[in-house]
Amino acid sequence: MEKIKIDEAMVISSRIRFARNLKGYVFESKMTDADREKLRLSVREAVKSFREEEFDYLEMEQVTNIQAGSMMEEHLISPAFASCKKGSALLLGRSKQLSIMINEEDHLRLQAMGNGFCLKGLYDRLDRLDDRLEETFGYAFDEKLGYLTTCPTNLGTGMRASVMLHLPAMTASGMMNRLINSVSPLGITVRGMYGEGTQASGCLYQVSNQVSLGIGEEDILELLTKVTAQICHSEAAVREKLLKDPAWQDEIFRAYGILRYARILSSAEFAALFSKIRLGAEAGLLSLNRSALDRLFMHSQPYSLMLSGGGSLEAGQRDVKRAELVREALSKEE
Amino acid sequence: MMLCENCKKNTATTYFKQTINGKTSEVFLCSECAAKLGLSDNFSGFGFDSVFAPFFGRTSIAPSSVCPTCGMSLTELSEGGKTGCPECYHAFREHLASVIQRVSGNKKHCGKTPQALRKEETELEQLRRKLEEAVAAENFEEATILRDKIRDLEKNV
Repeated sequence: MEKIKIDEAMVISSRIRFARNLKGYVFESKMTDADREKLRLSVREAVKSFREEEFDYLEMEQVTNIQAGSMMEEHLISPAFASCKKGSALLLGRSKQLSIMINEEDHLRLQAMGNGFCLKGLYDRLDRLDDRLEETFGYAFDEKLGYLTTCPTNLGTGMRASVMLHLPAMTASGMMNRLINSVSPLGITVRGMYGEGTQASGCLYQVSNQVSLGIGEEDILELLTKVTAQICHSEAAVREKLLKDPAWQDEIFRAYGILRYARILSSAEFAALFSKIRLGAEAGLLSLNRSALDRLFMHSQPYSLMLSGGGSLEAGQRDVKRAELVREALSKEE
Repeated sequence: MMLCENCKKNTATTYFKQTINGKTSEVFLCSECAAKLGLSDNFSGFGFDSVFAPFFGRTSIAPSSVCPTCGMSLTELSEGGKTGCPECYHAFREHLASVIQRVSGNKKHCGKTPQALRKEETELEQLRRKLEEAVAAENFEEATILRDKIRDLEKNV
């Protein structure tokens, strides 16, 4: 892949997943409980010989709604997986970068995730894990259609690669719809932060490949890299203009002031203010650590708040807890 | 796997049941024979409230078609948008072809191939090369053995 310059500051994280089905089993919708049990236990066994990473095994029936919700907020599992419990299991790498959802829509959803822009490295790790599992089980594959998946939209490579971008300037200038329309013919989609049908809170967007058949993995990654570079370039150009406006700078510092001292923060207010201070950090106006801010964003989501708060909390209680967490995190940064 | 009761060659993907004057008859057919016998036309015009419906257009669809491996019916597939097993891609290939065409264009997979297939390919290539060498050297005894090995391997792919 040729070297393409990407403004890393705008890229929150990168993620790749492979959809795979094992030979010798029918697909998820036709499986019996006994099939699911057999499959999840044999996958658990198989990863033990994968030397690169140790995995923790979690049967989803044993996971509470709050735990599942917070794993979804951290993008460790898909929203669909958080709600489908029976017979499914998660193998979570100790580094929290590799994970395997077992008995999701497909038998296996292998995922690799990392901070910043790191698609190539993620792909290599996932490729090795994929080879290891294929050696053990064999995959449902067709020469013409590629990896056979439950849903025909995932055929071919079965790969979905995505990057999460922070695009406050393009959002504020009303450029997002135009962007979505212009990348769509290239086979790229731009969506909210939890994928399909979700809102873009905090001006965070997921950019991913739409098509997985008829285009190889390397070409998908190269296309996504080029599109990401182009989007970051446009965002930078708009930012340069906007940030010259004292009113914009004022908003960034006011956002910081509110977050630093507020006693109640709803998730919508927090997301909007978070986006401002992250922009401040990216532009060098606020000396805040970007990774620390991103962790704070995750931990301030409803389920993650409840998980750290030790149980179910009403929206009002969460807002108080969120403000507390944000004050504490920002005071550490000073 | 059930064979078509008409041609006795292809896999049966369509199930027909009809009752005439109180007498019920059942038949399992492949899609070609079903079309040849004009049976698939009996089912045209069914409404599908599904994600696939717009793709299918006005082609004749037999809702009683079932996948011989997992029992998925075409109606179920059309409504849920999800296949039930790898064999569904064969059993419902005509119907899925239009869906795939719509999503990905008329494309063929390129990219990663399972290692198992990669290995078999190289083994096959090796055998073919040896066969050519044996023929060139007029070593027909070895050539026959190699030819049989190639045939066996090709059957398994």
